[in-house]
Amino acid sequence: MLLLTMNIGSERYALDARHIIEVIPLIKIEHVPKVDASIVGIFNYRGTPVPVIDLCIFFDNRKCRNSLGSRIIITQIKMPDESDKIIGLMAEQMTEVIKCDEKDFSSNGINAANARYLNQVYQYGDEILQIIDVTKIIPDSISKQISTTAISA
Amino acid sequence: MQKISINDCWNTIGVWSHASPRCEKLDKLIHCHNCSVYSSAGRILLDRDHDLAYQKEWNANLAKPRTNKQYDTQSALIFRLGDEWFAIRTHVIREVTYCNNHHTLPHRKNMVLRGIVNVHGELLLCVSLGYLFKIQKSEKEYAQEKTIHQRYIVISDNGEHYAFPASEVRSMLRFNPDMLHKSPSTAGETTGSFIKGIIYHEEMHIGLIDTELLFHALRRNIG
Repeated sequence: MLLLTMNIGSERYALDARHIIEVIPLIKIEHVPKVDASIVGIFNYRGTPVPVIDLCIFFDNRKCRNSLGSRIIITQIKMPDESDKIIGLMAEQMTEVIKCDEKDFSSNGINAANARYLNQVYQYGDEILQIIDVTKIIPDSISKQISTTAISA
Repeated sequence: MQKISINDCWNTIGVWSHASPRCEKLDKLIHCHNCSVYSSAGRILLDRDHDLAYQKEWNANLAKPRTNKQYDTQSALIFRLGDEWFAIRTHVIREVTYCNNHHTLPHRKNMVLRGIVNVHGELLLCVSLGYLFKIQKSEKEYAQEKTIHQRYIVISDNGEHYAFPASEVRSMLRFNPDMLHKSPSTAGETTGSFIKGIIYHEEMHIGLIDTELLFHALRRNIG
C-alpha cells in the first residue's frame, strides 16, 4: 500500500493513499466565522463548496505554515447521518509517498479515547510515522458543523 | 517567492560535474538522486512561501468542473509495405524485431507463406502481407540501405503467431475512430478489402488493417 507522509508540528504522520481523492496546493480559503477553529473555511472544489480542516490547529493548536510543501488532501468521510462528504485536510510538508506493507504496522500501545484515529504506527527508517485513519479523524462536534443537514436546518 | 541559497554540491562534486575530486559518497550511492543531501535540498525548496499568483491560478483551476471526457482512442503501429503505408492495431502485435533470413519450406508453392523464421529460438510462420495485399515493389527510393529499415513484425491471434517482413516500421499512432475515413473505391481490390479505413497522418494516407480479416485470410492461405 502507499502512504502519504506529512508533518503536523514536529511529528511525522501518514495516511493511506487509498482514501485520497486528490492532493492540491495550499489555495486561498474563504474564512467562515463562528465555527470550530480547526475549520479554516471553504473553497470552490469543482463547483461545490468544500470545507477545509487544518490538521495543525486540530492537533497542535497553531496554523498551518504557508509554504509550498503545505498542501490540502481532498478526501471523503462518512457523516454521522451515514452520508458521504468531501472535505479538505491541510497539513505541512506533504512531500513524500512511501510504499509499505500493512503487515508491518504496529499498535502504538496508547488507547486515547478521543484519538481513536491514531492507534497504528509504522517504522520508516529512523522515523516513526503515526498512521491517521481518515475515516475516523473528524469528531462529531466538527462533523456536525460541516454536515449539509446542519446547514439546511 | 523568496530566494533561498542552497549548496548545490551535486553541481560541484557530484554527478553533474566533471571536476575532481568527486564526492566520496558517490562510490556507495552511485547517483546524487540517491543521496539524502540532494533530497533534503529539494525539501528546502518546498519550504518556501506561497505566492499569491500561484494560489490564484490553483483556485481558478479547482473551481472548474472536472472534465471526465472519455477518449476512445486506439493505438496502432505504422509500417510500410512497398510504397504503401499501413497501420495495424497494437493488440495483435507481439513484437517488432530485426530481420534475419527466413527458411523456405520445401514443396510449398505458396507465395503468401514464405517459410519459417527464427525469432528468439521460436520458429514462426513467415508470411508476406505484401503478396496477400498484391502490393508492388516500391518505386520510390526510401533509403540506400534497405536492410536498415526492414523489420519483422510478429502478430498473434488466439495463440497463432505469424511474422511478416515490413519495408519500414515508422511509429506508433494514437487515433480516434472518428479519424477513420472510408477507403477510396480506387484502392486496389485486394488491398481495399483488408482495409478498415484510411487515416490521414503526417501527410501520409495510412490504411488501417482489419485484423480479423487478415488472420482469416492468413489461415485460409496457409491451411
